Amino acid sequence: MSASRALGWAAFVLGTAAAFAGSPHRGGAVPRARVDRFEDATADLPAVSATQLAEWIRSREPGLRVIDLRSADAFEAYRIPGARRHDAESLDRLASSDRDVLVLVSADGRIPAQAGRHLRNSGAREILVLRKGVRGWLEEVINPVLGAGTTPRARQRIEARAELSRYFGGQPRIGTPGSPSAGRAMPATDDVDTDIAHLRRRGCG
Amino acid sequence: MSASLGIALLIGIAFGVVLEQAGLGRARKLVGQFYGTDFCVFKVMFSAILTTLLGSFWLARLGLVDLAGFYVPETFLLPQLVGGLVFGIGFVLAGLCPGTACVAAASGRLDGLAVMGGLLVGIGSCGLLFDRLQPFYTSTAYGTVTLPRLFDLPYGVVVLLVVAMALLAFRVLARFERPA
Amino acid sequence: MQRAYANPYLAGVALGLVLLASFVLSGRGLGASGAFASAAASVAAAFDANAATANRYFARYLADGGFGSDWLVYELLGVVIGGGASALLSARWRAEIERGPQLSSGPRLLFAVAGGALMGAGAMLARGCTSGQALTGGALLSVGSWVFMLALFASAYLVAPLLRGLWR
Repeated sequence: MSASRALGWAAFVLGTAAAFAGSPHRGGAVPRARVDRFEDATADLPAVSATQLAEWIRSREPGLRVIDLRSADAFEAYRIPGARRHDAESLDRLASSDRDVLVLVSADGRIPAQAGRHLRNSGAREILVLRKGVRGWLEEVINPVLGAGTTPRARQRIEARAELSRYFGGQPRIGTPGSPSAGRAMPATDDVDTDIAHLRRRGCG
Repeated sequence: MSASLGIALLIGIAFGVVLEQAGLGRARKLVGQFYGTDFCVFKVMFSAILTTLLGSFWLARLGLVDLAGFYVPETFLLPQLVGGLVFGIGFVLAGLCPGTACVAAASGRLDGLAVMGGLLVGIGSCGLLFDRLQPFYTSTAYGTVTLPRLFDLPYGVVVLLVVAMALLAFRVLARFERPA
Repeated sequence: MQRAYANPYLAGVALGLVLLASFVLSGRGLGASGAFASAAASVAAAFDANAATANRYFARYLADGGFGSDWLVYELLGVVIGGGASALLSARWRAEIERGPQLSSGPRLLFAVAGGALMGAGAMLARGCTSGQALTGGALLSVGSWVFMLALFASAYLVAPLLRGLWR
């Protein structure tokens, strides 16, 4: 039997077995309800960094509208100043003018593809996604860990970011990321809710 | 250079070696595909698809990897349909695709270098026109949607269907191939 | 003595294993056109940095370090190294212009550039090429990747008879 033929048979056997082997996804088959809503699908929209958004908010960028797509509870717990909450499912009813710059906010920066589709015909001038969502906002604007800066220009830049952070009631840490003080100030967690709880305890939520 | 970029380099080297060893760094061999003289492209591509398809299915099924960690390209139906049609014309004109053009250039073929230049021009011009292309570029977005979801079939059944179709195609092509 | 090319099915299995390794090691598949997009963005930035970062398509390739730290750029650099080394070791390295018997070198290069430009446009719209969409997305059963692959072969087979003079 030639090598090609052997490979063909191997593929056939493995393929046939696959049809009877059940789901390869962890936790079994994906439930239907989730499938139809494409919940894990993300919209392909251009992103804006949290720092840039903070600068826009501070400079009162004309037409800027920050749309928070998280749950009402999450929104109550912490919100980006000036943000409005909106259900991702009903974004097609969001009225906007051609001067609007919409910035969509989620917990982690992922926006349902469906939300992107709804907004495409909204008429807004620009539709952007906040990179890394509220998590990115907390990391970059509210609790940034900024390097010490070796050149005068670098120090100037760091000071500008620290000032931006303080404007929003944040606590910038200036020093090396690995230093103990930076570590203690804001324990890095993977959970936005925990981070927000820390923030609220500190009294700037 | 970070570890991830080191891995990228190593994977690229393996990719390049395989393409060259299969003869896919040569335009005339590639276009044989379109004139019925050499179905090498189809054979290599579909054996690779079957290997990855079966490999990822079984590794995930045995719990060795998590399929959720694999990045599945999102579906943008119309841009990908039109992109494919345009790409196909370019493929016949150039005789090479982007990856194989690099192998061609690396093995001394100047036409490969010319294709690489063309690619840069094509992508660059489209990038410059992005503001105008964007409405189309982002149209008909369906997110991450796979064939099992589309046809509402279990993943393993779709794996079998793809394997069966490819094996059948291999047999049929072997019969029709008439080397020049 | 130039060595014969590998059995295409064996080569395909090897390619599949490389792709699988890429997924397991870095969670992503193979690609090629993305590196060209990254390069195009860097060229644009060299001419006018502000205009390039204002362009949304280029901006995403310029973020996070741009060309010099792009995964796909390193991967494609590897392709060039691997392809070149393999051609040298198998005594297949030759400086020449591959073309059809009826076509002279000049037109061949022009068609190569034109074909490259069309593929660039197609890959930009489709967000990937034969490697990133057809192969990688195809193996993960992405609907868009299969649409791209079928459209690619359909149009190639349709225009191939018209362009017969290029290759036959």
